[in-house]
Amino acid sequence: MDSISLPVIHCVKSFLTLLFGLLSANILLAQQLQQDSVSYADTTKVREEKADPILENPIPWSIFIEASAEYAPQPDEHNFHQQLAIGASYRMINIGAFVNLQKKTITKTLIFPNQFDLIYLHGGGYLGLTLINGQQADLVLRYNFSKGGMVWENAETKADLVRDDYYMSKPELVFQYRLLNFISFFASGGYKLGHGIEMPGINKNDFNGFTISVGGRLGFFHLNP
Amino acid sequence: MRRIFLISTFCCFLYGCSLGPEKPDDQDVWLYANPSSSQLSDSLLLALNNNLEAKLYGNINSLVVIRKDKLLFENYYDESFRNRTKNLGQASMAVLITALDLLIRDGYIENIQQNIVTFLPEYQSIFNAEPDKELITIEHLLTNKSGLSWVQSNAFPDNLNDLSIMKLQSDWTEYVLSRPLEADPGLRYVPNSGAGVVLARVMENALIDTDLLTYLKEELFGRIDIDEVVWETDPSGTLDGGSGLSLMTLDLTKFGYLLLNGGRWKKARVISNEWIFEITKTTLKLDNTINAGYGWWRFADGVLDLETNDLFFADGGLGQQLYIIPHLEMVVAIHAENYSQGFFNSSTFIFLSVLASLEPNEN
Repeated sequence: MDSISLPVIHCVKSFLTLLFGLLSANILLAQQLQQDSVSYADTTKVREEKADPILENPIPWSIFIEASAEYAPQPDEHNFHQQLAIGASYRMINIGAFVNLQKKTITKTLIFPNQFDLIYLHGGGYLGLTLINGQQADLVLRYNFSKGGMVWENAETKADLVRDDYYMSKPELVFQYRLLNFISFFASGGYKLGHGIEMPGINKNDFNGFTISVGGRLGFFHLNP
Repeated sequence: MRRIFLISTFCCFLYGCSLGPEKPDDQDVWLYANPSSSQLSDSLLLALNNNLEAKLYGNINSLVVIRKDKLLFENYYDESFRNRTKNLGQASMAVLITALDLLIRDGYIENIQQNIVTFLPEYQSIFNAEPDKELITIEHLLTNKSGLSWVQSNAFPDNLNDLSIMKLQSDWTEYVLSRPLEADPGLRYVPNSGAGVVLARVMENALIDTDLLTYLKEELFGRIDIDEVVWETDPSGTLDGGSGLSLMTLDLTKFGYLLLNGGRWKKARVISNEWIFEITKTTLKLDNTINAGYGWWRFADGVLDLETNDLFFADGGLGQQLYIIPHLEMVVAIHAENYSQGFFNSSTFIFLSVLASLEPNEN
């Protein structure tokens, strides 16, 4: 029984393997043929795929220098700060670096009876995302982060009394209007937040608050058609 | 690689945007505050400041007022400025005596009852010539009761003034110890700045492995954030413990603040509270107004209109004064160069003006 059955079993196994192999290949081939032979009825309306404007049109990009005045909080009141920047955009991404310079003198009696001037500046970079990209105008959401230095200077002797570092972050919305392909104007609104401010006579929240800025950009703007 | 380059560039930019990496060139001991925040009158202190600028109190170099851990008043006059060290005069000895606690703590000196002869073997011949001098103890130097003949008063011409003659010698300690005994040690009070020189020599010799100034810079001044210490020496190299120390006024205030806090600096023990009590307690009543401690002074009861008479002060002789008033949590430091005015000098009246600026219920 055993001597006869073993070769039979091997033959059956080989046969079944061959059969399944052929069947599988056939099914795959049939699917391929079916895909290749898909046809539409004459009445079917084929929608034309809408072209990607970014792919179809030239890619929007720009590179520029920027000068602006920022109306922002400071220890005594809101006041104008000067800001200089260089920036670039590519498709929806905006990047840049800036220096925010406060030249206005804030005089305080820090050590009685002496008067001191507070001078500070900070600089850093920003990363933005274009939310609306129009032909001549666009709206960008951008996040600014910077490191700065602050110094109390004796108003009379000009000697430094104390200095320290701090950080500043500001999310803002920037509306830009391109006048020509080399000049644009912008206005923005944001919220400034100071970090690590530990200076005598300065409240750590003195620099926190809403800001508005207006400025101009000079460079090259690859306009949307 | 490009990412690392970009990150590095950005970091360099951030670094460049800061005003500088250096730490604040400033004190980090007290908060700044206006006098009114600590119950002192802004207007009265401003009036005092105007008087100081007008030189109504003579040559005042600086005035610093600390109260309740706040720096309330700091100003400099007559071309002085914060970072300029000024001589403390005879207040140097108060600092040296305070520092004596460190040598006792570290075992270099057992106690102040030790005879100075044991620390001064190089002057054994002087002691041999007058054996009673061997009875002089460290305490006698602290109390100006060494018994050694000494003429300190500025009223004497320079050629009759021991202080002036001493400063012409090559070894000041030798000059002081060579003065004849005019009283038994411990018996008679005679103001003697030369005792400060001898004390410095005793402390120098007691130290085995370092010199006195290095030791003081490490164990005292360095621990209370005083970096700039100038201490004159005699030609033989001994510190002028009687009048040679120069500090910035703000650093002098730090020293006063150390004593105000019972010898602790930023929670670390520097000088023992017991020693501060020991050196500032009254050991001698000079007259109806002034009591003497070990290099420190007190006003006699009733002289000042204070609720508690716990005030003690160091006096430099030319108006350099350091006042510590524990119950008011107050330190007042004054640098001045006003000659021959005695204990109640212009600086004393400046201090009284500061006290007068306290709100009525505060003193």
